This record gives sequence, C-alpha cells and structure tokens, in this order.
Amino acid sequence: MPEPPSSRPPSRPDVVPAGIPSTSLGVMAGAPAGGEVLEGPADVQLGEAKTARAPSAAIRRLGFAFWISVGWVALVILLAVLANLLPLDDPNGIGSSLPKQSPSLQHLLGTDSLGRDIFSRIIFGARVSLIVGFTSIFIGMVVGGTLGLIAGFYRGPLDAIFDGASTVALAFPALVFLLAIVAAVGQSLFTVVVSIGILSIAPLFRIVRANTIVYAQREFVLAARALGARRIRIMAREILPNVLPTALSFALVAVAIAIVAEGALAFLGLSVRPPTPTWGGMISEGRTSLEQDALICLWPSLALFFTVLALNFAGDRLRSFFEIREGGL
Amino acid sequence: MIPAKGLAQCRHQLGLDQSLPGQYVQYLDNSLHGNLGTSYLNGQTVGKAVKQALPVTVELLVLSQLIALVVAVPLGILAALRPDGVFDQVSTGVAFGLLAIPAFMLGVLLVYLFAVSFHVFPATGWTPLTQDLGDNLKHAILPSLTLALGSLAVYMRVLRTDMIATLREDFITTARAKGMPTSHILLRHALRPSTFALVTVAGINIGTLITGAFLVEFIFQLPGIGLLTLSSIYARDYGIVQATVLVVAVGFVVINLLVDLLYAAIDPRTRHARATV
Amino acid sequence: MRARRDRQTTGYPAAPETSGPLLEVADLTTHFRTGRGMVRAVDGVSFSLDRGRTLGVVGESGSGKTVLSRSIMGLLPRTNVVRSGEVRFAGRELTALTEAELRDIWGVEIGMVFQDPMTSLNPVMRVGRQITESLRHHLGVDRAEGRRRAVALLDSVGIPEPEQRLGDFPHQLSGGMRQRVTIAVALACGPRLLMADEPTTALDVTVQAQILDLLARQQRERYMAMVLVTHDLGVVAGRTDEIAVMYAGKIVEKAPTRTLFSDMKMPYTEALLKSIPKLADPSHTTLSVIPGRPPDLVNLPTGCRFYPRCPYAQQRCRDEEPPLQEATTPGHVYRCWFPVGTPEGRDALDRNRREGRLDAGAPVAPAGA
Repeated sequence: MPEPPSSRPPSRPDVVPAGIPSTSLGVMAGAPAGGEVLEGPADVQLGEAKTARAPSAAIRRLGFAFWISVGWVALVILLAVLANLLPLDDPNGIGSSLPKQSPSLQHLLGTDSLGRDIFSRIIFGARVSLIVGFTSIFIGMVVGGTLGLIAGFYRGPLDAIFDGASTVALAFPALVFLLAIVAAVGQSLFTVVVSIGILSIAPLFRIVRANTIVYAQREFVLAARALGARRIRIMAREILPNVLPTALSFALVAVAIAIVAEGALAFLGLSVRPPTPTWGGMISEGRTSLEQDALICLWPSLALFFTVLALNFAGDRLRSFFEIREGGL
Repeated sequence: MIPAKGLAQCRHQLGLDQSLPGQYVQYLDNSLHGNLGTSYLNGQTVGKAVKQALPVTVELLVLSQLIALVVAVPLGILAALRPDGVFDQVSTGVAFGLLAIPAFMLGVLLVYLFAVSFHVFPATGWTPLTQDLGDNLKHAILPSLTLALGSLAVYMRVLRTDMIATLREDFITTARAKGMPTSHILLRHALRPSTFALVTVAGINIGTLITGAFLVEFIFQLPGIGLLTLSSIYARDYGIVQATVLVVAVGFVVINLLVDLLYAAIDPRTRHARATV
Repeated sequence: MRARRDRQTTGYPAAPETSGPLLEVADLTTHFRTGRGMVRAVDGVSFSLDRGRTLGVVGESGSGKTVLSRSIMGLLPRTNVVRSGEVRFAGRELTALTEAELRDIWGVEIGMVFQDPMTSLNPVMRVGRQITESLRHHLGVDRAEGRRRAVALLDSVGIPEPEQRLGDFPHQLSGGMRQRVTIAVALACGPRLLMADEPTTALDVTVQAQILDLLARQQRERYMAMVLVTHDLGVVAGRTDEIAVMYAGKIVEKAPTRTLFSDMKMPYTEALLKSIPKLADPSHTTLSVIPGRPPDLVNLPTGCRFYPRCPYAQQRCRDEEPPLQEATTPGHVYRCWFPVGTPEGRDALDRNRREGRLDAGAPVAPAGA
C-alpha cells in the first residue's frame, strides 16, 4: 500500500463508535450489540490510505486527551495502592474533626457530616471501586473471553446456544439481578465482585466471539489450518493476539461500567458494609446534607465522574486506534 | 421467642414445610393464576402492592423516553447534517460527558439544581396521575429528566451514525434531484430508514432504563416498583422481592416484543417478507 | 414561497424562450479534494445540446461521465469539491445559482434517472408518494390531482394496473418496473432536459432495450432534450443524435452518431466500438478487450491520457497533449495526433507493429513502467 507522500498529519475525525459506552448498569449491553449493527468510522474518506505507523507516531496519534485519561487512572490507582503509606487522616475517624468543614490545608477537601476527612475517604473509597472494577472484569474476561474464543472458532450449535443466552443476559436489567443476589446472599465485597463479574461475562463473550469469527476466516488462520496446526495452537497463537487488543480496550470501558455498578449498589447501601468508604456511599451520605453543604456530595461525584470518563475515553480511543491499524493491514 | 407450635404453623402458612421443588411448583401455579403471594411483614397481598406501584414506574419510563426522543431526534439529525462540523463535535462531547454521569449522580445533581437551589420542582414525593395531573407532572419531571438524559445521549449518537449513512444513499440523491427541500428530505426520506438501529438500541436500552428507574425511584422516593423492591430488600420481605423481579422480567419481555413489532411498522420490507413467507 | 405561487398559476413553468441551445456547457471542470490528492474527475468539458435532441456520453467507468452529469446539475457533495466553468441552461447560468435556487430547476426543468433502480427509490416510501411529492411541491397540485397525474405517468411508462402500483413499496416491483418508476418520477413535472445516468446498466439485458425505447419515446413525445450517459456504445448507437466519448475526465471525440460510427478518429473510440458485445453476450463482457485500465485521476499521465493503452501511441503522444481539433464533418471533433483512418494513424500503427511494441493488442508499455 503506497504511503501518501504528504507529511500532513492524518486528519482522523474523532469517531465515537456507535456502541458508545454507557455508564448505566445495563448498557454493558449497548456497546457490543449495538456495535454489530453500526460499527465503522462515520467518516470514510475517498480512497485514503491508512497505514500502520511507528510506535512514537502512535503515541502522538492517540492524542493528548488519551494520555490525560491514562494519567488520571494511573494517579487514582497509585493513590489507592499507597493509601496506607500516605499521611492521611483515618477515613473512619468519626468525630476526629469538626463536621462539614470547608476545604483547608489540614483537610484538603473539607470534612463530611460526621467530621471525617473527605480526601482520605475518597482515596480509600477508590480501593473498593478499583478492586470491584478490575477484579470483576478480570473474571468476566477470563470466562467470557475463553467462551467467546471457543464459540467463535468452532461455531456450531454450542455457539448458537451461547449466543442466544448472551443476548438475553445482555438486555436484562443488571441492577435487578444484582439486587436479587444481594437480597439472597447478603452484602459483601466478595458478593459484589462475583455478581458484577458474572454480569460482565455476556458482553465480553460477544466482543471476543465477534472478533474471533472475523479472524478465524483470515488467510493466515486458514493457512495455519491447512498446514495442519493444532486448533488449540491456532487459537492461542494466531487468533488470541489479534483479538486481545480490541477486547482489552473494550474491557477498559467495561471496568468503568463495573465501577458505576458498584457505585449504584453503594448508593443504595447494598455494596460493602459501612463504615468502609465507597464513592457511591459517600454520594448517598452527602445527599442528605445537600442544602447545607453541597461540596460533601460534589467531591466523590467528581472522583467517580472523572474516573469513569477517563476509562470510557481511553477505551474508546484505543478501540478506534486498533480499528484503524486493522484497516491498514 | 416464637413458640415452636406457632413457628410450625407459620411455616405451614408460608408453605415452607414443603420440599423445595414442591414450593417452586406451588409458586408457579399461584403466579400463573395471578396470586403472587402475601407480604411477610404486613400480610398485604403482593399483587395489590405491585398493582399500586406499577403505574408509577410505567409513567416514569414512558415520560423519560418521550423526553429523550423529542430531544435526541432533532439533535441527531442536526449533527448528521454536517458530520464533524461544530455542532456535531459539541454534541459528541456533551454526549460523552452525559454518558460518564451515572444515573444516581445525575439525579442528585438535578435535585441540587432544581429543588435545593431554585425550588422549581419538589425533590421527593409523588401525586398519582389520576389525582392531579399538574401536580403529578411536577413530581415526575425531575425523575423523568434524570432517566431521559442517559438515553438521550445514546439515541442521539445512534441516530446520527445511521443518518449519516442514509444521507449517502442513492435515493437521497434522487430526492435532491427532484428538487425537494432539505427539511423534506431529512424528515420524509431519511429519518424513517435511519431509525432501525435506534429501535434496536432502544430495545437493548430497556435493561439500563429499568436499572435507572430503580435508582431514580430511590432518589426521589417515588412509590414505584423499584422503591418497592428496594424497601423489601431492606426489610427482607422476600415475597415482594420475588414478585417484583418477576414483574420486571415479564415487563422486559413484553417491551422487547413491542420493539420487534415496531420494526415491522417502520420497515415495509420486513412486513412483506413475513407476509410472503 | 413566491416562486411557488407562480408555478401554481402557470401549471408547468414557462421559462423564457431563448434562441440558441437549451444546454450549453463550457470548459466545465470538477475536481474532488481527497486524502490522496486532487481527483480530476471532469477536466474541461464543453458541449451544447438543443431542445428535443439527445446526446450520448460514453466512457469506461472512472472516465468522469457520471460526475459530469451530476456536475451539470450542480448535484455534488457540499464539501471538498472544486468546480469551474459554465453551465448555461435555457439562458440561465446554473453554476451561479444557490442550492435553493437550483431546487426550483431540479425535478421541474431537469429530471434525472439514476443507474440502479434498486437503490435510487426510497425503500420505505410508497411508489405513489415518490411520484407525487415533487408534483405537489413544485406545481402545487392537490392530492387528488397528484394521484391522477401519477396514474397517467405510470401508465405512460408502461406499468400495468398503475392504480394498484401507487400503493406498492419499491421492493414489491421487479428491477425493470422500478426503473420505469424512476423514469416516471423524473418525468413527473415535465422537465425539458432529462439526464439519464447509466439507466440500463443494472438491468437484465432483455429489459435494457425496453427501457431505452421507453426513454426514446418519452423524449420524442415530450420534445425533451436528453443526456444519456453510458459505458456501452451499443446502447447509444441507434438512439442518440450525437455522441461524446469521454476518457479520463475529457471529451476525446464528439460527433453526430452516424459519423462517429462510420468515421471515428480517436483510437479509444475504435477500441470501444470493437468491444461492443454481440447481441448474445452479457453486458459485462463489454470492455474486456481494451488492455489496461483507465488512468488514476489523481496522477494523470502527461500528454495524451490514452497513450499508455493506445495501439497508435508514439513519442509525441507522451510529450504533448493533443488539442480538440475539427474533422471534415461539421460537429465532429477529436483529440489525437495520429487519428484512425488517416495516413499518420496507419503509419503509427504499422510502426508499432513492426517494432513489436504491440502484441495482439497489448499496450505499448509506458516508459519506466
């Protein structure tokens, strides 16, 4: 494929794929299922050659906003991991300070209605959000991804059954499922992680399956098959490395959705038991004193908003990045 | 302490002395006959509680979807008219932001803006539709808006993508060559064939919407299915939880069926394909 | 609004009767900006067309003929298009009009028939409405009158049971029937010029002749001018007054139909003619005998654009672009240094044969390739 002679930076429009990530619980569904119908850059330029670039160019091409997003998520993770080492107030120290203080040097974001340091609670709250987000999606990825790889590679009746089941699972109101589990089993971090993990199996299954189907028909896979390579080997060596980038970029969006799901449960008081701080729980508590001090509610909301936005954006950006690279093949 | 005799009697009343499969068959049988059981707490029949709560949730869902569509359709069309134009980019950014705001946060935000700061709308409570329409709408507007904003962003983007594709179709050129005005082309020619994906996504969105309705009812304390479920969970009133989950599942299937029927209404090709097969 | 009222009172729009041709195209150029560079789809095309006459525009796919027809109408994308030159229609300069002004000409004065009736009709709109909407919009007729005229139109394009068909959706009709519908749509407001862009390419061979005959009949009966764009010389052979052969965005030969077939000057025309399929051949075999492909409209060769594929090509063809020159017959122009049927042409062909630069019609390899 000829490289266009101009040194002009490729003016790729900021395509938001139709399967836009949505934060509400159920629309883990939205992305993959909607995407199948609508995928594809919105703006196709006449005969524009798209070619793979060198890594340094790739870093630039992902854009400034992408790296801001990644930076934010990294910062949140870092703070959450190092929370115990940081000079923070006790997040559960009720009455250790005066309640509802304004932000000051001593309490960066002020204190809540029980006199606890909000900054400290947000950082400790990030632990719950991140653990739930990443662990549950890891579960979903391992189970859903493996099933998707197998179903997409072998097809046949098993695939049809899985596919049908995932369609139903995708659209069913996720919160109702979560509530039912919590009502039946009781609330704990473990319950939350596992049930959100279960919920994430269907969408991740679909993403991986759809991509596997595409790659399973590519020449290099057919060639490997013709050469008599074992199927396990083809799946692991030929298909997985190609499916993984898309799946991982979608997984980032899925982590955002899982974090929101945990937030919703915590908001309803059904996630980790108090007094362990969670973002959703803090928003819910702050809600009761909206009239006196809206800031108490604002800080955890901002933390949640920017984390979700960053994950959505980074995932989305990566996805279109890999799609473009794909187009250059 | 409950006396052993009373406990046994209670277990019998609740049918807990039967085997698990036996209980399940009994439950199915009762449900199919419209008997969803009684609340463990106050002895009220579950059916009655659900019947009271359902209209609230249905009104909330319908109203939110109306708002979402009324706003999303013109915005989606406008964005599609000049892809990557200023309006398109701004609306993309706003949609992306809206989608990063969870429903419960949005609810709190709206309460803060319209109820706490400006006292335009009540923060909580409900007046039934049959009692006072104006008051009903006043209570319904913030919850519906909360639900609508999330759907709105999705619908707008989906319609935009489809609309852009439709506007590249040959029959649009035909309509232009006929000298039809742009508004006519957009609304009469391009809109309908651009709504297939919108309908699909609306169908997929139902799950999200019900989830959102649960949260919104909790935030605004609306006596709908969601609040009923949640308060029953807090009170460990499993009879009601069971019933509401069943109602949601059935409602979910019914709405999906309606969405399927909608396809036929929009696309004559599927209608005739079915008729001829 | 005002214009609309005018139309209502007059029924069919009466444009000022000017002397001279109905359509005059002068040095029309249409380029598209793309990521690869400028696509020179139409590059300085001129011709004129009188009332009631038919011009055939012939060329391979990618020769710019479709863009030419759209460019004449002004029916181009809004962005990344560079158009220059003049298009004079019934005394009005179309290139100077805004799109809003053009909409009073589109459909009313100039009708257009598109290539693929499968995609050029709205799949979710009933056939009747697709015909009546322009009638109602442009001529302001009411519902009943629109319906009456639509029935008459469908009847005149040879659709049986026209009243029943009004309620049909396009997918319920066959390809030939659909193309008849698109013709009815184009004719609805009684245009004075019909642009037919490959109207038969997507149809079965058996239907093609019917549609062409229908177009010819309508054109005669309505005293319309018609531009018939096609890749198939056979299509235009008996049905046009004049033929323009396009290659790589330029008209390379133009002549009255009879003259073109009997006394062609351009080797490209000759090649096209040789490639006319026998009656029994399917239409897709048409051009397979011209070696090579049309040039990339972004990187056009210098000199004559046809030289890389031309059996007559000489050094001069590479260096200098031949101008449009007149032949002996009035109205016959061509672009060639070594025209067919002339001593120079014969010499050139012989030289190429002798030097083995031609092997059973293989192209003269361009230097450096």
